[in-house]
Amino acid sequence: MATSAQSSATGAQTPVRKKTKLNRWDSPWLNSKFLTGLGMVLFVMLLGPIGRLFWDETLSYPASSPLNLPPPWAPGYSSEGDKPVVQQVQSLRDRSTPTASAAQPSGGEAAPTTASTGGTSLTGGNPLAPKPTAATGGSMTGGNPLAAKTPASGGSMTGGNPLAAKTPAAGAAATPAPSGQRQAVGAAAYARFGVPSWEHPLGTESSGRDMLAVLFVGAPRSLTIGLIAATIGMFIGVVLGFTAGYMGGWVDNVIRTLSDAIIVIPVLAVLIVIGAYVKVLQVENMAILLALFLWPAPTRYVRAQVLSMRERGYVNMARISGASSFSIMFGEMMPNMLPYIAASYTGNVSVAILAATSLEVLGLGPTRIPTLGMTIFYAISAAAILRGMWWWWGIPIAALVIVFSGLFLMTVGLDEIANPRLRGRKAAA
Amino acid sequence: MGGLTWNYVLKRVGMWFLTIWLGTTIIFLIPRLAPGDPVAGVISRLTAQSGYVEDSAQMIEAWRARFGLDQPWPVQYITYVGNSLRFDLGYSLANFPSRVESMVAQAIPWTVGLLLLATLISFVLGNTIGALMAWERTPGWVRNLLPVFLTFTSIPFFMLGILLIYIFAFGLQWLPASGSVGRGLTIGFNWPYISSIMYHAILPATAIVIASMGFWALGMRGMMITTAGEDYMILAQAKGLKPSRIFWLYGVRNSILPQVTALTLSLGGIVGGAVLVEYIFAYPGVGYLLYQGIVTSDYTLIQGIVFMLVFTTATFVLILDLLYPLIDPRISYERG
Repeated sequence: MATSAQSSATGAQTPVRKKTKLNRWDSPWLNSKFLTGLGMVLFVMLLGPIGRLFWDETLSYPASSPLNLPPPWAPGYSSEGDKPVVQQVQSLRDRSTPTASAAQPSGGEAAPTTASTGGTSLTGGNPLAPKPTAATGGSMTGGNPLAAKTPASGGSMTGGNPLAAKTPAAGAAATPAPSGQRQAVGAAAYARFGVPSWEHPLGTESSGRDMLAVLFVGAPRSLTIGLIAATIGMFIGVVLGFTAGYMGGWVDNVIRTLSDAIIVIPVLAVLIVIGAYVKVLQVENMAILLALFLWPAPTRYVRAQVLSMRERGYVNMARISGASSFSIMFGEMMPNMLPYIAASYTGNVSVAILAATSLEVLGLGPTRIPTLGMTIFYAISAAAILRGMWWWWGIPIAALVIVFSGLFLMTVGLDEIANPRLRGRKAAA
Repeated sequence: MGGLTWNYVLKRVGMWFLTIWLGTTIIFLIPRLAPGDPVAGVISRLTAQSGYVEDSAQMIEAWRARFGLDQPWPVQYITYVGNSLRFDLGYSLANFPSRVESMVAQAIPWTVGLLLLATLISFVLGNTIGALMAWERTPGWVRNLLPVFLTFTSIPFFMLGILLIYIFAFGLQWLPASGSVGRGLTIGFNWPYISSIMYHAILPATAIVIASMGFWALGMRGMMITTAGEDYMILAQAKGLKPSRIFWLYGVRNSILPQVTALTLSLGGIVGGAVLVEYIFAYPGVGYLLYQGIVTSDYTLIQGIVFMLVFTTATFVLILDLLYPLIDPRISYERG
C-alpha cells in the first residue's frame, strides 16, 4: 500500500547526503546485497568464457577424456597384459579410468582397501581360505577351488571365479590368472571411480564426462535460459502493463483478466506437458516457452504503478507541457519504477532458471548439450547419491545454489533500493 | 460496504472458470501443435520391440477412432473440455485398464499429507522467526539469523533434498532415502504403519520446511518493520501492554495478511508444488506419478495430472478471494 509513495528512494538518503556533499558515488544502487548478488551471478556467468581459456571444453562429452582406456576386452587392453596384475591395477588406479568399470558386472562391493591388502601375493590353492560353496567350487576352471571371502585372510582366488565380483578386489589383484584381470581391474577402478584427480580436478561421471568441463559448458547455458526468458517476459510485461494502465477501458480489462488467469497456471506443469511431447527442447525454445508464463507478474506490477502515477504532479506537468504519451511513459514514469522492475526481473530470471533446471532434472531438457540440470538427472538415474559420488551431483548443485543465492540477493537488494523502509534500522541487518 | 457482493462473487467465479478453461485449452493444444503423433509413436515403439507389427496402419486407425482422434478438432476440443470438467480424464496409456483419475486419487493423499504438514510447519516457524527478527526486544543472535535464511531461501527444494539424502540416508544412515512407508506392514490405522509413514516423511518434509521457511521469514520481517513504525504500536506501548501481547496481537496480527495470501497461493500449488522432491525421494505422490508418466510416455496421465494441478490451484485462489473479506475487512471489493 505504502510502497508506491516510496518510489523516489533518495528521500531516505537526504541526511547522509548533507554530510558528504554531492558525493556522486553515494547512490542507493550501491547496496551491498545487490552488489554481492551481482558478483555471484557474474562469477558463474564468466565460468564459461574464462574456463574455456584453460580447460578443454570437449571433455564435457561422454568418454572424451584422453585417459579413457579401451575396455578390457578390446585388443588395445592387452598391451599391459604381461605386467603383474598388481601393477596393472595400480597404474589403472593412478589414471582412474572410467570405462574400465564397464567390464565389472557386479562390482558394487569393491572395497577401497585394495591397496593395503593387494600386496599379499599368493599362489593358487590357499588352504587357509574360507570354505567354498559346492556350487562355485565345481564351476571353477582356474584350478583353485577355494574362493576367499575376506581379504584379511589373504584370500586367494583364480581366474574365472564367479565369486570374484563379490570379493573385495584384494584377493583377485594378486592372481596372475588372465581372465581374473577383468574383474580385478574393474573392481579396483570402481573403488576410485571418477574420483577427482589431477587430470580431472572435479572428477568424472559414469560416462566419462569431465565435471569441470561440464561446469564450464553447463553453468552459462542454464543462466542464458533464464536471462532470455526473463528478458522476453519482462519486455512483454512492461509493454502490456503500460498499455493497460495508460489506456484503461476494455484493453485494461482484457489484459488484466488474462494476466490474472495465467499467473495461476503452474508453469512447471504446463512445461512438463510440452516437454513430454516435444521430447527434445532446445535452449532457445525452452526460454521462449518460459517467457510465455513470465509476463503476468511484471504486467500487474507496472499497471498498478502506472495507475498510481498517472495523477501525480510531475506526470500532469509533463502532459501539460505537451509531452507525448510515449515520453511520459518511458521518460517520466519508467525511471521511477526501475528498481522494482529490476527486482521483478531478477526474480523472474531465478524462476526461469528453476523451471528450466527442473525440466532438465526430470529428463526433459536438451540431451545433447550438457547442462547443469541434465547432469543432476544423470546423477540421480545412476544413483550417484547412494554411490557416494558427491562430485557428480554436488558440483552442478553448488553452481546452481550460487546462481540462485546471487539472484535472490540481487532481488532483496533491489527491493531495498526501491523501498528504503526495508533497509531496517541497521544497515547490516 | 465491505463483505461479499454478488457482483464480486460472480467475477471471481468467472475468473476461476476462465483459468481452468485456459489451462485445459493449453493442455489440449500442446499435443496437436507438437510434432509427431503419439499413437504412431506407440506403434513405432512396438515395432522397435518386436521387429514387425502386423497391420500397423489399421491399428493406428482403430486407436484413432477409439480415442476420438478421427473427428474434427472442434469436436475433439469440446469433448475434451467437457470430459475434463467432469473429471473424466481417460485411461492411462501405460497401465491401460486403470483410469487416470483413480491413479491420481491414490497418489493425492500422500502428496497432500506431506506438503500440507511441511507447509504449515514452515509457515508457523518462518513467520515467527521473521517477526522476531524485526522485533526490537529480540536478542541479537536471532537477528543475525537473517544471512542464514538468505542462503536457504534460494536453494530449491530438490537440491536440499539431495543434500539431505546424502547426509542422513547415505552418510549417517539414520533415515530412509526413498519411499513413503516400510515394507510388510498392515495398511491401516495401526501404530507401526503410521510411525513408518512418519519416519519416511521426515527427510522430504525437512527439505521443504528448511527451503521454504526463509521465504516466510523474510516476508514477515519486511511487514513487521512496516508495522513497527505505526502509531498504534507506540500507543500500545504507552498503554503499558505486555510485550508479548503487543508482539502477537498488534504486530503479528497486522503483518500476517500478505503472508496468509501467500500461504493460500502456496497451498494451491501444493499438489504439484514438490514434483521434484517426490521424484528425488521416490515418494508415491502426484509428483512421482507425473514423473512415471514422463518416463513411460503416458500422455493421458501427464495431461490428467496437469489438469488436476491447474484445477486445484485455481480453486484455492477462488477460495482465497472469497475468504478475503473475512480476513481483512479493510479491503473494498467494489473496485474489483
